[in-house]
Amino acid sequence: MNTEPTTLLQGTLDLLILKSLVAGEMHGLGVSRRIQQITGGTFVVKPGSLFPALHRMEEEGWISSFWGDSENNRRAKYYRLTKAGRKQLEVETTRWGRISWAIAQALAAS
Amino acid sequence: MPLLVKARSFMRNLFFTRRVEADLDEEIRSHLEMLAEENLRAGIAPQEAQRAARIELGGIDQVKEQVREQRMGQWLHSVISDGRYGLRQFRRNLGFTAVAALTLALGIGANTYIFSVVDALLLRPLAFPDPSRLVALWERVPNIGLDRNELAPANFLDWETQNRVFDHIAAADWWDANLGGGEHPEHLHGFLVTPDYFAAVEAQPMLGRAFLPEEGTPGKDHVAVLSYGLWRHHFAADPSLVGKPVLLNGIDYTVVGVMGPDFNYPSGAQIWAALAFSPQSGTNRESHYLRGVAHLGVGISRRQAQTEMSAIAARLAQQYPKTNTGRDAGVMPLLESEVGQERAPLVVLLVAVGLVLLIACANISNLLLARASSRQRETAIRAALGATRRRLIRQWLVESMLLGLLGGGLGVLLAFLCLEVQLIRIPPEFALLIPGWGKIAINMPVLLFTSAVSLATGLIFGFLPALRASRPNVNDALKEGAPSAGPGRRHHLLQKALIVSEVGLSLALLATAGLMMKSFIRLEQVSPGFNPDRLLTIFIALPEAKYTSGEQTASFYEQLIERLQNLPGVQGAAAANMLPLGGMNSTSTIRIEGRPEPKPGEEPDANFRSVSNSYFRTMQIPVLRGREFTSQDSAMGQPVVAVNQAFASRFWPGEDPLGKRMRLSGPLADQPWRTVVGVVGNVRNRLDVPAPPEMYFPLRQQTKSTMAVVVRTSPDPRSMEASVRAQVAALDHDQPVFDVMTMEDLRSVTLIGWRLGGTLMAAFAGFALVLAALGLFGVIAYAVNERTHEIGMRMALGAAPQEVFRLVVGQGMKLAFIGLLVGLPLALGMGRAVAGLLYGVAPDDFATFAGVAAILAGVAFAACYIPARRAMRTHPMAALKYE
Repeated sequence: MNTEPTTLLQGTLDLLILKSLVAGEMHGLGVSRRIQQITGGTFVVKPGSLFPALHRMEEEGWISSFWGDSENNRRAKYYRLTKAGRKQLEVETTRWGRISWAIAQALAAS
Repeated sequence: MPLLVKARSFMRNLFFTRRVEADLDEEIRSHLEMLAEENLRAGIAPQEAQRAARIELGGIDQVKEQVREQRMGQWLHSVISDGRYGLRQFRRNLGFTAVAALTLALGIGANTYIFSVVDALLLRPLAFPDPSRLVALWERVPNIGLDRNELAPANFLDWETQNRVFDHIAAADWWDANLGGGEHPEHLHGFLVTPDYFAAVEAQPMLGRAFLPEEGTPGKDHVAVLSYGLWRHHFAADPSLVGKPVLLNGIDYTVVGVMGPDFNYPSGAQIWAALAFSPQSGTNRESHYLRGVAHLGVGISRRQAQTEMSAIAARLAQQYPKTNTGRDAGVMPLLESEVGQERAPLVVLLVAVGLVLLIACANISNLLLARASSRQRETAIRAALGATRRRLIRQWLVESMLLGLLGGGLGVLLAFLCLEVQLIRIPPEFALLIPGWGKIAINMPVLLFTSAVSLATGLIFGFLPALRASRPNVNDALKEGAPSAGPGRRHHLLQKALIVSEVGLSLALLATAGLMMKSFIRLEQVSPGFNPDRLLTIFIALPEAKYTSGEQTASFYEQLIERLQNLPGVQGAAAANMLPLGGMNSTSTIRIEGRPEPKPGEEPDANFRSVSNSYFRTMQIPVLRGREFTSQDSAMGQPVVAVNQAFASRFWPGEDPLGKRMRLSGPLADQPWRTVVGVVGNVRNRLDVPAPPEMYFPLRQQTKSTMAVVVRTSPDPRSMEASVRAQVAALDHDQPVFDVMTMEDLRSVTLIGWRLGGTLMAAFAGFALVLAALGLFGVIAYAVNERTHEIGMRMALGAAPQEVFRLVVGQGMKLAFIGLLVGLPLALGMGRAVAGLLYGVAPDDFATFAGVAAILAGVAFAACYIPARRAMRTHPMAALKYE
């Protein structure tokens, strides 16, 4: 496996963030590490992409935020999925399924 | 709901910027610290752990900026910051800002002012919530170009029963109601209306009810609905008034309802009573005196209604050829029917103020263009730092629109002042009759209009400079010491084009103003055919219930005239049922003795008046032939008539009218043949229309209960009002008088359209002229300033100061003349457009056009003169020193 983190496809970041938050509420660093973990280290999300995405998604109403204490008793901003966010996850998941199926079809074609 | 969340985010980003920022700051910081802790736990040295964390984060401010760019309402933020920047620019250039804002204030103020009048008089004169289903009904006689003839009662009744296009249809008749029972008798402007009237105009009484169908029958018709104003001021807003009787014209009427404060239809109405047709009037197809209104049925268009009504009218014409031949029905939107005369001059004024504002825009554009070149450095720096062209244009436009709003705000104040000091004054008796007059104000619709105009103005004048300024030559502009980069040929061309259009537009405005002023002056000089000086006029409506016979009525007026004539300070007194210059006529078809019977629909007609014996003397109308009326011309005496010159030359051309006989036909056909005993001079009913054929009957032979009494006084006629009223009261204590005016008032009211149109146009054109002159001055002065070097060089090489003068003035005058040429077709077009408003002057009147062109050229010369003088005095040394 290539160890170079792959550049994120446009639109996949939202899906990954939503997916990682299904496990429960977490702060920005947590989200970033979780994505790294569930993609087997393929995707590393930089703060310069992560925070704008988190804030945009919060404004869209897919996730909500609150201040809480981290595992080391540090104040951190936590995010969690909203109802609209779960719905959005479904939408994005089906869309991604369609895309990956289409790409696979395209690659399988001779 | 996501939408709610979005809205909340938007508001939060906008109004709690500081909290949002602090939040972001803390979030990033805690993220950074957690990264560092992670590194520490991985066994990295503290120093190195911090560094690695920072590297992974990738720059605190960059991250923050990236988040900010994602935020909702980001564009608004940057517009606001552009606005702040613009305001700082204004403060830094107070002189420019003041000149621009004042120019705009005058331009937008004039627009606001005229629009407030247009809004009240043309757009919403009737306080009906939705006038689109309301129509006015008229009889039409297309053959003779008669478009709006009142309805005859029997025709109305047939229309009412035969049509299937209206769900309500009603008719109204003027009604003079003398309100008795109080301290002082009072005359009310009333209307008799058929029961469906209020439903037809979608109105409901505020108190009580409207009329019931059965109240449209004789005997049950003594019911009245009061206007809000009458109810408040005369009955102290007594809520229990409904159901009680009031004394009107000596008869008890039951009050059944009170209208709300907004209802004012027909304009000026104070009271409405039920109209019942007697058996005689119900079959009358010859007297046309009813005003019809109707409400279109569901799903019926006005066109459909027109088709149906025309068909009914055609049937009636076949059925009653004698009276209805050639008579059609007209179905007109009520709004259009109500605002006829005021429309044209107001539209012209609105166009004129629009043009003035365009000129103001051109001027400010020019100022901004000049500023754009002096701000080139600043723009270049912004561009070099990565501002996109769109961003630069937006910043300029935001600045311009702010300037527009500033000017608009001042303009509203100005318009408000104009309304407060009543720039347009009309005697209240007339103002009441103009629908919407009382509602002219700076209200919400006007403010909306002004805001839109202000923003649009900003866009218009800011557009060219923004395009220009957003394309800086970064390299040249930033070079220190480079001659503050000449704006280039295209820039000059733009400025010149703006000046040319200013001059052209000014010419059009000046020419229109000139034509209208000339019309006004011509009309002022028109002799009405009598002497209007020091005449007091009052109206009296004798109630028929009290003055039952013509004899009684005539005696009242004769006694009153005699009493008045004996008053000190009175030179003469007389009575007539219609005043000249009042615009009102009674017309009747006539027969001339010895002529063949005319075909139906082609009968000759003429105006008629009933006058007292002293009328011609008092009004100073010359009796050209024969005699005036005397006491022999009584009800018992030989029926006589006096005719005006127009009548004599129309019906007896080249013959001696004295001793000839004529009679009225139509509804007054039972009248006897009358012998012409006198020919009098023509008197105009409207100053702009030559007198039509007209007949005068002696009061005793054709009595009217409502008469105007005119009193020629030695002192100011207004000062005699009280003693004239006292004489009426002495004769009949219960008899009110109304519409007390002077003939001078009446004359000025008939001229008001022309006077206002002319003077306002002249004011606007003058303003346009000043703006164009300032613009020209600015451009020439700027050019001279730029060419100081070149001019100094010329002088050094031996050019005479006169040559320099000629050079500069020539440059300016060339622009002015091109402007005149461009403006000429526009001016001719405007002249043709206002042709209908002109009197005694052709729309392409050479003298007017030559005159205003000369004025413009003279002003343009003056505007070039000052910079040219300065150029003349340029010292050759300037060629060396400059820059």
